[in-house]
Amino acid sequence: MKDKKDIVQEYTRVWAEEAHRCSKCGKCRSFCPVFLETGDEKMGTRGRLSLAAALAANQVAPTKEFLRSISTCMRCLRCTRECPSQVNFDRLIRAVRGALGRRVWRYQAANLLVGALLENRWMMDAAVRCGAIAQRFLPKGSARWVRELPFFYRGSAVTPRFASQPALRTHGGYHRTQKSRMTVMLYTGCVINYLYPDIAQSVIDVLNRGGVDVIVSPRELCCGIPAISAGDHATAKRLARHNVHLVRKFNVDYVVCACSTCTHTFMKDYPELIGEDAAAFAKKAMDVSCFIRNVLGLTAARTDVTATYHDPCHMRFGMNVTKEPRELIAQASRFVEMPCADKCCGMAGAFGIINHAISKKIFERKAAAVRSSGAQVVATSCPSCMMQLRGQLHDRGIAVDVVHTVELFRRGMIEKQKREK
Amino acid sequence: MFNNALIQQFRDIVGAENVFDSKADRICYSYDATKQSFLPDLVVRPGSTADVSAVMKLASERNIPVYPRGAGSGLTGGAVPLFGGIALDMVRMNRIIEIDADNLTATVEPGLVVGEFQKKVEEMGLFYPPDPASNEFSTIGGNVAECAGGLRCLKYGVTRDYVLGLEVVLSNGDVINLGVRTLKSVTGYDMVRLFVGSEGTLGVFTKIILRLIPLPERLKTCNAFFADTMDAARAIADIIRNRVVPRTFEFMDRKTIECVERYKNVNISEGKAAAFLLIEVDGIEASVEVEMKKIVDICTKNGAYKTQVAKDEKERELLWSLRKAVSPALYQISPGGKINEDVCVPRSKIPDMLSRVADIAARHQVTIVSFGHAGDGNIHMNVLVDFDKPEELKRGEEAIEEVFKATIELGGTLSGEHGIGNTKAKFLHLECGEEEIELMREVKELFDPKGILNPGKIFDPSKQRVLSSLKEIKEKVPQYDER
Ligand SMILES: Cc1cc2nc3c(=O)[nH]c(=O)nc-3n(C[C@H](O)[C@H](O)[C@H](O)COP(=O)(O)OP(=O)(O)OC[C@H]3O[C@@H](n4cnc5c(N)ncnc54)[C@H](O)[C@@H]3O)c2cc1C
Ligand code: SF4
Ligand code: SF4
Repeated sequence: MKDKKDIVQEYTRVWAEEAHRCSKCGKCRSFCPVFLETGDEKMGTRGRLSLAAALAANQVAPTKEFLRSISTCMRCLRCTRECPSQVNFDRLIRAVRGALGRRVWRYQAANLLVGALLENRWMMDAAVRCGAIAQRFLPKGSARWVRELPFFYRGSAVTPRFASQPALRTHGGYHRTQKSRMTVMLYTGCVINYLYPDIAQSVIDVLNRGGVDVIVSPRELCCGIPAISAGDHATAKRLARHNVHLVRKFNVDYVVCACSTCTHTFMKDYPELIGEDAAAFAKKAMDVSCFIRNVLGLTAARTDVTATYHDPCHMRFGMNVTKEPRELIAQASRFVEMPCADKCCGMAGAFGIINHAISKKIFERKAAAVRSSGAQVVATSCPSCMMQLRGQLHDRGIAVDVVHTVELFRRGMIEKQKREK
Repeated sequence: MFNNALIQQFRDIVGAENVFDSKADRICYSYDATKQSFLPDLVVRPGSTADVSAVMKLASERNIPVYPRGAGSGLTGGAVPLFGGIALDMVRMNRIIEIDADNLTATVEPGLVVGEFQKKVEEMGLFYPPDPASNEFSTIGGNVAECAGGLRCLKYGVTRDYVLGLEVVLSNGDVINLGVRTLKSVTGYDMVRLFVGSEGTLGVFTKIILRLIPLPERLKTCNAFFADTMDAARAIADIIRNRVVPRTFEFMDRKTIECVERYKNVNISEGKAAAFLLIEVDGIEASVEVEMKKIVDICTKNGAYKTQVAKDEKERELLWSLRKAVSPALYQISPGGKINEDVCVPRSKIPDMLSRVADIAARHQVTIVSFGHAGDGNIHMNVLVDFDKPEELKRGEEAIEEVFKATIELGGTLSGEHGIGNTKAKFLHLECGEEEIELMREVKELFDPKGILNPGKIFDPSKQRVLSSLKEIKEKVPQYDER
């Protein structure tokens, strides 16, 4: 274990390297979604970089404004992908938040609490259970939606209802098919587990239909992204080790995941967090659309809906995946490309809750795009984006269905089997 | 000087949420693309002409320097608050007020991003040609203040040629309207021209009336590789002599080509190119075909060993990708930094200039890569140096000084499009005579008698007369320099 001083030095080195690389050209002003909505330099990549450098040089203290700058990054990865000077901003922001997690008491307290929840499945289950019960006492917005909690989630007038049973409880286990070609593990991830177990159901069904046995381990823990983003690297490391060891126990070639953020965390963050240990896992991790398209090569028949696709940032800018989900959708429906498909939806996990006002503004472009596309269904590959799309579209009275890519593809597969009969 | 009562007065003008006084905020408005950093005391973000006027009035009463600021993408330190004071961020004033398709004019606010404006008018079949490489993020206000050029100057000219009128707030808060909404006008002196390229030293633009033209129907793009720079220069001259005026005429020297190919891991030049040209013509279908054929013939006749013509949009992007990779490639090859200058020489002198530069680079043991806009003689010279190595930086700066001298000798100018700012202020005398500088100073004093507007820019700060009133401020401001 490195001692504290070493860690601080390590951070300062990362800062020096990345901040130095920035030429301060200002190009990030054209793509950082938070800057575009706020027009506030400190809430753009260039400002954040400059402040990080100033903190490392002891020219600024972690004041309110400083924390506002650092905490309003969504980690959408656009800058890391598009910066002409190849500044790896994501590496920097992780390091900065890591250092702050140690220095700022508010962060320390939050990290303690969140860390405990993430690392102990029973605690998380219990917390969600309490939340689910609390939701029952809230006035209902509609059949599917529960009205907002006034001080808890103000980002949208509606929040999704917690699932009555988490997916890991209902779907944990070994899902065999008759003519099995291979066995994979499905990592569900927290949002699907607690909010959208239907997606897990769809993935299992599609894979089974495609001749694949699916393992869902009830012992999986959070991928760790909330901890990484909050700067709690110690917790993130423990979570990473747990998941890596878990996967090692099962002799599978692929770990399939329907949440683009979890997949990205496995592929890109784990190796940086725990090094060599994660290399094998990182190679096995694959987004479910890529798996269906590139490994299985499944096909579907076109159903009678018009659908469009929203690019989750981690998918497009983190993993460079844009083609496969679109191909699946195009098989299962009439696909139309919407303008600004690559623009951020503004959710970004906790960001959408804490910075709800900015989040809502960022969604404005998306709402206009969805409306102009004329699609009946928006498909996407990230349950967190789905949450935002559903809530915000509902708020604006835009009657468009929001589904996971795999759910749409499943309808197409069923349609195909029907026709073949 | 900036006590709470004064800050409150600014808050009363623009609203509390648009005045930043925290250290963290001020750091974020202390720099531009030159990487210099000087802390302002206050950041003020006006939302209207009335706001700007009131801010200027108060600042002038209190002798506070004001630095208008667009996107902070300037390459000569134009927006850097050298002596502390107020960074006047124009970002909130970013509306398109009117696009008049009948009279081909548009009225916009200065904080509007150029690329957004271009997209908007192009949707309407109209065209705003000035196209700096920073179009996606730099603002119209910044472009007008620096008289930005870009990639289409040979055929379409620079920003200056598209500004018809300006609403300007002077240093004492007075609002004046300059120029017209018509294409012709000889009513009095041409004040608009004076303000275009004034680098925020004469007044703050609050409204800009721009000229538009119809969007050309078709584009045709080609590139050509030459083993000898002289051949390329002859080809350029020949093309124009044959009455073809391409919209874009980009060139890269051998070092730039090497950098780019290494960066993109390709070998398109087959390792023997001394010069690369990217040529684009526009117009109606029939004319672009004929012109492109002429261009290819002329290039080949003048010794181009390879030419490629784009057949469709996809191929066009491929051809452009080499040129667009220059910036990132240079950063990668020289992560420690680069001194970026944009001298401009008469077109026919480009080969002379390049050979002189090669000589200067060799003598000072630095790497200089050159690329730029061949059609107008504007060469971007990048001296690759590590800013953390003082000795290397010094050699680089010496080389630059010689480059400037060579430029002037060849009848060129210090800056084609980036302006003088503070980084080139000490070289102004190389190009302008004493009397001319004196005259410019008097003009500046006429509009800004207290010298509060963007002090330290264009004129050498150590010699700036009007600055005496600011001496006191300069000493009080804690300077924050990243280098
Ligand atoms: C990667 C890159 C590529 C570039 N390519 C080109 C190019 O091809 N061609 C080119 O010409 N330039 C280029 N530039 C330089 C730069 O983008 C231009 O100088 C641009 O015009 C600056 O605009 P800005 O909005 O960033 O202004 P800033 O940098 O913020 O300010 C520039 C100057 O304008 C003044 N100013 C800003 N707004 C106002 C206003 N409303 N009223 C009065 N004064 C004002 C400021 O005081 C300052 O002196 C490039 C820069 C970068 C980083
Ligand atoms: S785009 Fe990259 S180099 Fe340019 S200012 Fe932003 S972070 Fe810095
Ligand atoms: S990750 Fe996204 S939100 Fe954060 S600085 Fe980069 S572009 Fe902005």
